[in-house]
Amino acid sequence: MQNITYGEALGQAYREEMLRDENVYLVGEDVGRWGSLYRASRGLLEEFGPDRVKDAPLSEAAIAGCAVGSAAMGMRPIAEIMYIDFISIAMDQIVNHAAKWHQLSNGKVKMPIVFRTQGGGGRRNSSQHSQSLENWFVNIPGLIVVMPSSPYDIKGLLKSSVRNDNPVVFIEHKSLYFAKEDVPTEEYLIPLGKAHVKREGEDVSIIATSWMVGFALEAAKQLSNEGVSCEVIDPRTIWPLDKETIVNSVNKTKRCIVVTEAPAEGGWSGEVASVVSEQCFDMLEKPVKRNTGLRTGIPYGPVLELQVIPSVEKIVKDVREIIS
Amino acid sequence: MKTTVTMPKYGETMEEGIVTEWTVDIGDTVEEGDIIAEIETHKSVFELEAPISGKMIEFLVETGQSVPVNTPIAVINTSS
Amino acid sequence: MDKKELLGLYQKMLYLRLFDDMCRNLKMQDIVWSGYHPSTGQEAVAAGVISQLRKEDCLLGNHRSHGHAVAKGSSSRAILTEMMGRQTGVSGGLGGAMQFIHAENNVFCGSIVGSGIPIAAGMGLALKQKGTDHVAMSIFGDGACNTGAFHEGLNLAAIWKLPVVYILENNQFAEAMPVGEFVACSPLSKRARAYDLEEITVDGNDVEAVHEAARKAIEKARSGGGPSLIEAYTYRTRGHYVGDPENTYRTKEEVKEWKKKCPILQCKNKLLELGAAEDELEDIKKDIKTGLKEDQEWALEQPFATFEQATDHVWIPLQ
Repeated sequence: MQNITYGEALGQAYREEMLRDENVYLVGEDVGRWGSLYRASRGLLEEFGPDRVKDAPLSEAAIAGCAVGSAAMGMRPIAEIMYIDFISIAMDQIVNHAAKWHQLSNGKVKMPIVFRTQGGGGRRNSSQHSQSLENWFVNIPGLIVVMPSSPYDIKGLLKSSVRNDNPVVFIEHKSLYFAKEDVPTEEYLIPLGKAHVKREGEDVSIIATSWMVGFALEAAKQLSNEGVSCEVIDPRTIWPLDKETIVNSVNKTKRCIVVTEAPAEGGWSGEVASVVSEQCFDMLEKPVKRNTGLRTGIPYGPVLELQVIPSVEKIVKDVREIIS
Repeated sequence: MKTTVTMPKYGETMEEGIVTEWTVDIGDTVEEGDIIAEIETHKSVFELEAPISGKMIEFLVETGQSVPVNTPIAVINTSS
Repeated sequence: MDKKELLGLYQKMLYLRLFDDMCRNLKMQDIVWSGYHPSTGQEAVAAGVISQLRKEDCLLGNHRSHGHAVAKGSSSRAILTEMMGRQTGVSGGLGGAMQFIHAENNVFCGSIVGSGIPIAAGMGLALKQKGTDHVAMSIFGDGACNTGAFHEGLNLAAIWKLPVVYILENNQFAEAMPVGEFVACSPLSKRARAYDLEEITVDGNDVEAVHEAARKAIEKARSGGGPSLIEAYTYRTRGHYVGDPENTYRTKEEVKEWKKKCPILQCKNKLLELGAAEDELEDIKKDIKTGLKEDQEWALEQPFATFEQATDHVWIPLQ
């Protein structure tokens, strides 16, 4: 075992996949010399050279377009969009091309791209650098969407994403890069499309994503002191969603809270709530509760930005309410 | 051999068209591509080109009459 | 260029013109659906430039690229039936006239203007990195050179010295927008300066000139010399799409003047000067027409794409 950070785990995943397959390459702004904003790719330029680790100009459309073109010709790009807030500039390439070329070519052209990015708040970056935009991609046929919540998860999920032949939008969280966890030194993969029960419980199912998983686990720990048993599920892959794991859980606990940093309206949390409402209708004791970011831009500063998103306290409060 | 000229579909929303003017007469020799009529749609006015070379032998609709897309509107006799 | 080679290009241009006319007619009978964007008047670019590409070279086309695909060697039946929504189309009938991919021939046409420009850079990167001397070509119009993607893609291709040939087909209009009013520089090739590339404007209706300019650029890319931008100055003598209100943005007189500069007519005159016989040229036309008639008859018989096919290949399901 090694006790490493989310960023270090990501770096190991890159390295292992780049050693394994010479077609895998990294492209993005400052991924080479800087080793990425949060240093995850540090050392890779020296080890693999500029053909495999490509510092790109400030051109999200070109970065994404380069990924599309090179993938069509047999390469496996890991294309980084430094902040998910910039991904809007790359949307044409991701949505109109990466997501559609497989179908438009009758299945002959593959887009084995990982569009890696990071979102969320917690770093005082304000509304244009702190968004949670996963729902944009969930709604686009052809894309897989992944949100890793921990060092162990990010390593296994990134490796699986690189090996997958679909375009994957891989959304990391800026407040997790320095989170630490024990991670095996031996190679492992985490399958896409499978949710992870991070904590078993009986009284309520909490479905949480990304940074919120940690908040839910902390809330569950606190609540266990009150004799309340929470099941915390991390979907890991936002689409395709592992409905079976979630439905089995809610059928058991009869109560469900969905926790996302992204606002509720039109969000992926609504998707989960719909699925649970449809498939667990007979078993549900209470309506599905959504505990989400408020409908506002993430404000500037350490105090305000935490007040507009879910917190351990708010989750604890919601659990107490839903089991009453 | 007779070739029927039909009311073309100029654009997705076009459902009907009007021949506002025949720019050739019955009996005239036309070359493929020659303008043979002016067509008015709800959007604009277009020039209808002869699809084939030959002799214009029949007009099948009145000018000013609105007809659906694909309706036969004229006949050209091609030389064998 | 000798008579034989020029005759070959003449034949190609004439084929593209007649193919385009056929597709246009089918569009007006509602057999070809979606917007149909004729290439009438622009045949020299397709024939002169694209016919020089190998199968392994990649072509990024646009909504007006049915002729481009055929010029690169895609079967006209496969392109025609794609526009007619049939299963035998290159995209299984699911793409249509404005967007299709012919994977086997490395032709990728899309309906988002300018998007192929950065993609071509990516293709060039892969082709270079895999040690080949194949090239990527992106063909786009005067409208595309105003997009952000144009700037981002060209800059990337230039800084990484990628094997890409960028063809800017300036047909004078982006839909109804006359190029003089909407592009801040003239000629458009001035934009190449921003990427430290040679400013090349060529008469897009002179098939020999266009052929030669492309030949040099393709050779440059193949030999590691990096990208080129060629402005081919031409004119589309038909509307942006079938049924567009042309009278709102140009005069009949202007169209008539440009028809006198028709690339096929120019080439024909040159051939006659070089000693080709009128009969010979007429025979070429007849042969093409016969072939196209057979193609059309065949196409009309082909089955439409089905619902099952329409919902297939969205993604590669997880095991």
